[in-house]
Amino acid sequence: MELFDNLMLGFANALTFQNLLYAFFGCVLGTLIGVLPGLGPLATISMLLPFTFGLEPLSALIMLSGIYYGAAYGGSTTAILVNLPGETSSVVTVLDGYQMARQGRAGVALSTAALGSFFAGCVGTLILAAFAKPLTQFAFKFGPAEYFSLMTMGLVGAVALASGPLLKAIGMIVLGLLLGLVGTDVASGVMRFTFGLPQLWEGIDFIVIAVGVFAFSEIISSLESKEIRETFTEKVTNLRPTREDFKRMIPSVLRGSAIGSAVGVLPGAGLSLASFFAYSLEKKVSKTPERFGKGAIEGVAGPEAANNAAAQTAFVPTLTLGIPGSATMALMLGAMIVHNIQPGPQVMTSNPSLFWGLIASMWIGNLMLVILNLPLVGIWVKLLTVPFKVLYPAILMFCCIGVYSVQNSVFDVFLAAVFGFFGYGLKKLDCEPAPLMLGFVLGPMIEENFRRAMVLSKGDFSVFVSRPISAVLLAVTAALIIAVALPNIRNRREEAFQEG
Amino acid sequence: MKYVRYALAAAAMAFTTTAFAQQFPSKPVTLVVPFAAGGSNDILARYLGDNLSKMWGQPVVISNMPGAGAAIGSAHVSKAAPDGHTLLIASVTFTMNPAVQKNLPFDPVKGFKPVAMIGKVPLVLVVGKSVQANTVQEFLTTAKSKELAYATSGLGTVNQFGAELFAQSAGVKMIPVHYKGGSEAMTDVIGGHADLFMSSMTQALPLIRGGQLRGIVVTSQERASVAPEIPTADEAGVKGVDVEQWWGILAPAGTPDNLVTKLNADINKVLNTEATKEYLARDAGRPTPMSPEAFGKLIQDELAKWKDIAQKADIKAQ
Amino acid sequence: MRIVRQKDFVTGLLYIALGVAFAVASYGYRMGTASRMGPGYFPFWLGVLLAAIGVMVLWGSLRLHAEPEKLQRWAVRPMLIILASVFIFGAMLETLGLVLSLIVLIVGSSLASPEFTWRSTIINTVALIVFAVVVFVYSLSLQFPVWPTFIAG
Repeated sequence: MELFDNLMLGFANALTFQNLLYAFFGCVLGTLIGVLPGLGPLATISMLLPFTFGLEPLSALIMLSGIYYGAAYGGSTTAILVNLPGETSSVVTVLDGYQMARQGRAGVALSTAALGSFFAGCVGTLILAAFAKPLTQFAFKFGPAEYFSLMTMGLVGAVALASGPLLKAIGMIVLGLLLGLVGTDVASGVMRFTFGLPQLWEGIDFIVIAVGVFAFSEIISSLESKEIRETFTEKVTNLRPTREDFKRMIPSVLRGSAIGSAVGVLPGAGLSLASFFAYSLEKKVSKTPERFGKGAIEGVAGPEAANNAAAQTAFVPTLTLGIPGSATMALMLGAMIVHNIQPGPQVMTSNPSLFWGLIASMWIGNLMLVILNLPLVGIWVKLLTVPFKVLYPAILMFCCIGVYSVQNSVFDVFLAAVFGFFGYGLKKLDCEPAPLMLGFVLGPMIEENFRRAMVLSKGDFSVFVSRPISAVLLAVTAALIIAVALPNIRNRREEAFQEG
Repeated sequence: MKYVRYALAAAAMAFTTTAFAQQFPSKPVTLVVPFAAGGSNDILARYLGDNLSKMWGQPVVISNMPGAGAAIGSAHVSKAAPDGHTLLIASVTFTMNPAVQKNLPFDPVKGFKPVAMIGKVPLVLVVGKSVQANTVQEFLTTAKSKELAYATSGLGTVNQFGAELFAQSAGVKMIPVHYKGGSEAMTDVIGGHADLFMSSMTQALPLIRGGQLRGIVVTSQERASVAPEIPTADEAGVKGVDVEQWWGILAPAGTPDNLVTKLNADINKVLNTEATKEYLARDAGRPTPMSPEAFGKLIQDELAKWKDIAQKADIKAQ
Repeated sequence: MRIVRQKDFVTGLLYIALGVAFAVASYGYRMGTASRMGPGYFPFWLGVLLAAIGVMVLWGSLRLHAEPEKLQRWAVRPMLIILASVFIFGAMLETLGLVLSLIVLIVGSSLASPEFTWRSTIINTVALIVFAVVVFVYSLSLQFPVWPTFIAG
């Protein structure tokens, strides 16, 4: 019952009027900023950090984590409403979320995302509270070899993101991997494919490609239809999920929460992979995989749940060790240091009221988000009834400003336009952008971890199978490949017989 | 006493400088951080900027210009008008990049006028569970029996140069494993996948205290006040190891001397307060005020030193 | 020979071209071996793989029994207008400031709509600029010049 006592302590500390106010403020701000492309939690937290210097440490952290969740949630809103994934994790939300919006079910998609996220957030928080220590040990088992195998599995799973022909999708993944390699090679320091431009030394930013291939190309192709398109979507039908919707989404949310909680613990890779894994899983277990990519509610519920569960468990290494799993986490640690709390393994014992207070506030933040966002759904959906000719210049404006503000660089704006052209071309060729984005995210990580594993094993390839976790992951990968390849080969054969 | 002396010196300086410097700053001053918001340079710049703007009565705008390591922000400042209104916050890597990267879009010596040193943080060599050593001697014994892998937060970073400097001074050979950032590198050392990491004291201290890592040796001339139990390399018999993480302020080349003197005096005034001392102590650091000349010499010395180390260890982009 | 699936045919060509381009560019970097990869190794083989996939897609597009599929026309006019507006926005932003650049971006891109009217465009432009200045410049204090640098000094 120690856990229970600890949680009580946490709630006692977090549940002051003042702290609730900060949590609310953080969630509102985070949501509003998350909706704007390019302005993620990172930019917001770093801008707000100085304002929190005057607050109580716990209040400051509560507000900052409110921003963190709010921004993650706001990002899904943009993905669903205007086909723009603001961050890696919402690439898959675009696939079915935007299709649902096009069918007038934006309200359902947004509510699903909010409810799924809330449930997963609760699960993630509980797991964090109960198993923080053992989970840390689990994360340490992952060395370069394990990461390489995990990402290979992710790549094979990425095929599930495509609803069109397999071969074309694989091509897009490979192209994405290549684009991800642009910039300084971590292992050798060589600048690859930069054409001598210093702006490319650190690689292409995710949001630049996302804005180009998703937002710009969608706007252009919406403008081409001869008949005048009054609004962005067809008639908005219902806002709330129906009984049938709930029946479909509940198992997805459960699976998503589980997968997200597990993957989120891994620093660096976890947060971006969770939603991809969840989507692949949903499509695999579905009896009607052909609905995916055409507005399947499971394709929104699973990944959104996974993403939010991962957002909670991503705090594990940050809280138990003081090692940030992402740049945003690094800022949260910075906030602790500013308030004279040395983050690290001791926080739990030396400052229990803060540690458990923060965990309690995570739950409060999640609850607040759902309370805040369910009414907002109506407003967001109203936005879609704005005439298209008024809406799209606004989307363009937000995209351009967002892209510029990532690095304060107009070069990125030009590059986004180039990717807009490229993305429009791909659309005309029925090549799907989602596998490209996953390849883009995974490319450098796969290469880096492979090379690291080789350096550490002194060039011995057997590390990938001699280490148990890596071996299991590779076995799953092999099984996946067989499962994907078999029906294809069978089809080929049948075709061949018919031709003969 | 020191504070009084600096205050007097600053007051004297303010009287003797020309009208040009007295009018400074005539408009908002831009302090360029060549990294994205949130890093150590950024946090330090915001602290310093806040204090300077109170002193000057003009806002100090923190401008984040990330990209190409620190090259884009640095190049921007080296080309800015030399009137003191555009300044750069640089760190120790400023003297390391030229040793590994050709074609930098700025000249680290001719492009800048050194203004002021801010502060330093020592590095500490930490090992995880893959290395059994607790002392420098035990560590060196292990390092001689097998080739250890040291984690870095990227090619040509302070972690790599620190580890190489130590290895070369101790006469052992270690191989680098590159990571994208310090956190990833640290995690893999704790997990026992990589053997050691030459970390900044800021990040390593809580993990040493928590028992996840063992601190073997510090790279500063004196022991770190936050972890006095860890010996310096010098004491342990490994001579010539002197590398610390530092931050300093640079102005574009051609900035008038009297203006540099005023900037230096004002910055040092901030550095010599108890508040600054406390602020840096939280990160296991300390303010290290210097004259512009001393800071310039430090940069020149380090540039030469890292070039030499890079050549011996064959650290270059290839 | 008849190209049955035109989209796949072009996709194949695109994959081959990009794959070859990446492979050739990677050849300029040190290759190394699989156990000690240089910076060129991974992208080189990925490029080869992409080109190989391109060949397979191309081959598939030529098979007679494949379902025929025609290339679609590009909407060249809206594409050029949208992308040019974005380009000009980028080119103007740092010297002419946010307000003027946004006027070009919003008015320019609005021209791409088949139901363009000056009235609604002007209202939209003014509203969006006010919003952008209030939110991005004053509330979030993002770093960009609001007015032309030669006026604001």
